[in-house]
Order: sequence, then C-alpha cells, then structure tokens
Amino acid sequence: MYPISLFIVTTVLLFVFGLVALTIKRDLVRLLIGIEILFNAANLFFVALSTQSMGMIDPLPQSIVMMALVLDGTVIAVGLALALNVFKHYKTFDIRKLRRLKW
Amino acid sequence: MIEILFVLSLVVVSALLAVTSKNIVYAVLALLSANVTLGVAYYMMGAPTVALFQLAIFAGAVVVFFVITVTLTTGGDVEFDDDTLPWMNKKVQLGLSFLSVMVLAGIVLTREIQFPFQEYASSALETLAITPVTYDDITTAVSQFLWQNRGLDLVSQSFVVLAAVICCIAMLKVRRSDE
Repeated sequence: MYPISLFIVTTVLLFVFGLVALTIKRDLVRLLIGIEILFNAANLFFVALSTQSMGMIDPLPQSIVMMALVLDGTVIAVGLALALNVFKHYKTFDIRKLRRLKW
Repeated sequence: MIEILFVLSLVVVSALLAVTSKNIVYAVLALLSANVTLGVAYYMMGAPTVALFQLAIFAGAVVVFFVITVTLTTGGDVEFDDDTLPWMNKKVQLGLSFLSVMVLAGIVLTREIQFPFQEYASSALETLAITPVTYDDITTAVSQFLWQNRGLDLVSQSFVVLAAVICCIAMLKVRRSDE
C-alpha cells in the first residue's frame, strides 16, 4: 500500500495542468488533451482511494473507473469528430474564430 | 516506494509536456506517454483491470484518434497557438518538470502529512472488499461485481457508446454539398 498523500499531490498537479490547458489554450485539440488529463486525474484519485485498505481490494471503485474510462473515450471521440467538422468549415482550430454560430 | 514515485513523476512530467509543447505531434506523444505510465501505475497499485482498460482505450484508441485528427488537419505544423505562452521554452519546461518531481519526492520523504478531508473519512462503512491473493483474484472479483451488481449500468453504457458512434458517423459523413 502506497501513501495516499503521493496520489493526492499527483492528482492536484494533473488537475492544475488540465485546467491550465483549458483556460489558456485556444487550440481545440489541445483543449481535448486538457480534458483527457482532467479525466486521468479524477480516475487516479478514485483508484488511489480504493486501494488504501491494508490488504483489501474494493471492486466497486475499480468497476466504476472502468466504466468511466469507456465513457471518457467516447467523449474524446465525439469531441475530435466535432473538431474535424470545425476544421472543415473554418480551416482552423482557433476557438476565437468560432463566433459565427450559423450554418 | 521509489518505483511508484518514478512512475508518478513520469506521469506528471508527460502531462506537463502534453500541455506545454508547441508542436501538436509532440503533445500527442507526451499524452501517450502519460497514459501508458498511468496504466503502469494502476497495475502497481493493485488494479490490473483498470490498467488494462487504460492501456487499451486511453493509450490505444484515443491516442490513435488524436493522431488521425492531427494528420488529417494540420499535420504537425507549429500553429497560431505559439503566442498563448510566449515565455514557455525548453528551460521553463525543464524547470517546471524538476519542480513537480521535487514536490512529489518531498511528499514521499514526509509521509505523515495529513490532509483535512482525511479526518472526515470513515473506515467503518460496510464494503464489498475482498482479500486478494493474486491479481487473478482481483480480476475475477471485479468482473463478477460488474456483471452481478452493475448490469444495468453496463447496458446503459453500451447504449451511450452506440449513440456516440452514430453521432460520430453523422458528423463525419460526406455530404453532397461538400463534394
């Protein structure tokens, strides 16, 4: 069993990196990379908390994280499809150029 | 202890590079590195099924989606995004990476650190925890739990995935007006 504080700090660092990517970056693909890092932070914290009982394994958090991983993959896939559509229409990934909300 | 510190340091540094790299191809490769090392960390923490899903979905499928998107669009050119962090260069990246690793190493050296929320965590709750002997026991317990207690979640999740696939097909469909 590893100390929980190590995972807490790792989670906080990953969360900060993801939030920085979401707030500063203007590239759609980089925003999706930030979202994925946020997903990773949440999943890591969940699994780390589930393995803190000495010698015991709780299957509930692990199964929940497995389902979350699949759904995160679908979210990223739909986001990338949206990004491809945006690039087809606007010829850029810059989100500042996406102000024209009409077909 | 030192091995999990090494793996988590790799995760943090890779995530930092994924966020700060100017070239989008390097950012995707750093994201791949972060996902693979996080899968290794899950395995070391005693969650082999989660590690398998992490490697298959995040390190496999999602990174392939990213590579396909980058290849179909910009092809790895350095883009307009350069001016968002003008002070970000290799020295700053190296410094931030070193700082992150030092923070993690400091946490390992001071093991007795307590976070406020830990005072409110209760260990008296009834759980379905098992005492595993091998990793096979963990895999069997998780899959049994998933099918016996979370069957409805699995079915609804499959519908969500199906809806996402239909959504992707609809969005990427080539229309006559586009040809």
